[in-house]
Amino acid sequence: MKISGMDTKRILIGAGLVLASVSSLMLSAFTDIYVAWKVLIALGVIIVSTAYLVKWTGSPYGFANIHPGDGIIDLRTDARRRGIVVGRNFTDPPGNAQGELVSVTARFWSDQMPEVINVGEFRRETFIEYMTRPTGFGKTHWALFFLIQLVLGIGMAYGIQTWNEGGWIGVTAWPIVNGVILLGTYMNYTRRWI
Amino acid sequence: MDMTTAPYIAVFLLFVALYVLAEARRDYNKIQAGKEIDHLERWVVRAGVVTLVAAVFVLPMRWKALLLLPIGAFGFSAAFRWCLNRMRGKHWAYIAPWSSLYDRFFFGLSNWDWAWPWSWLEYKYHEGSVGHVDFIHRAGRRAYLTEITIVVLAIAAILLT
Repeated sequence: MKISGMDTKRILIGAGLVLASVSSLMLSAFTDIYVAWKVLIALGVIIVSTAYLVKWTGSPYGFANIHPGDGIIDLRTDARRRGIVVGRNFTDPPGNAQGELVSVTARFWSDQMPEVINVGEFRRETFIEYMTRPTGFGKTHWALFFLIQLVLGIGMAYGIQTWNEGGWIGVTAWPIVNGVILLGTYMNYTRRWI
Repeated sequence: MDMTTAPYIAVFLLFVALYVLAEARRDYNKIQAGKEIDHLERWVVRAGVVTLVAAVFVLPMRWKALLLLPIGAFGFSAAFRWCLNRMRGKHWAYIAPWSSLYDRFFFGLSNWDWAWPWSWLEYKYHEGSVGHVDFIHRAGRRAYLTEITIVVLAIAAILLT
């Protein structure tokens, strides 16, 4: 089992999603609010469809959020794509104890899932991979993540519509809240606050 | 300056202050009784209550009610920490990196590798080690400064726009 490089398909889908979101929201600024709602519903459909695409277009290799010093010998995967630490030589901190469940991004079809990922066959996942896990955006479940984005997106679109009546607050909230979400996700990825 | 929203801000701040007193007393009693505090559960409940109250102000304040959320969140956090520290007889800038991720965030600007593990930091703090005490109080002052700045900016944004 070899280690994959950059997954261009996933990057392209991500870029397309961002472009679709931004253009839909900009379009909504020049139309009436009812059109904006339709655009946002369409945007929701696009996002959910993309989630399924991302789920099955990942690289067919196993990734684990492993940090130097974790002292993991190898991981055993279960049906729910969680990794179970097997081995010894665990250092602290943070260190994973034997038998502890750790987060694993294992992008396999279920019938191809290996029982054990041996040492040297997994590496630490990148931040991009962490954000595009099949299970969610980092540790946030995809359903919750898209719900948050939908609420923020509606707030932003409505903010554009009512800019002069205080709508700028909704528009400003969008990058601020997403910035905080991204910062929190990055700190979870590095396991360091900060 | 639009002062028509000032009474709403005052009422909201009054509510937050009373809620802080009740919640701080609740946590203090738990700590005294040696009971475990579920920080996540309390965070969700407090955020939910403050958000619901802020939502009431959407009718008179429209979009500006959204700015009550950072006021409620960061104002609550600062006032709650201050109240609880007072009740427990601790220094006003006492903050614990082991209690929640939010509090730990304010230790981020300092190099805290030397202070690991937290149990050792806690032991040295209560022993009165100058370096450890200063390390914790510096993070506490940073937390208050951040929170008060956000509250002031949000109030200014409501009144000045």
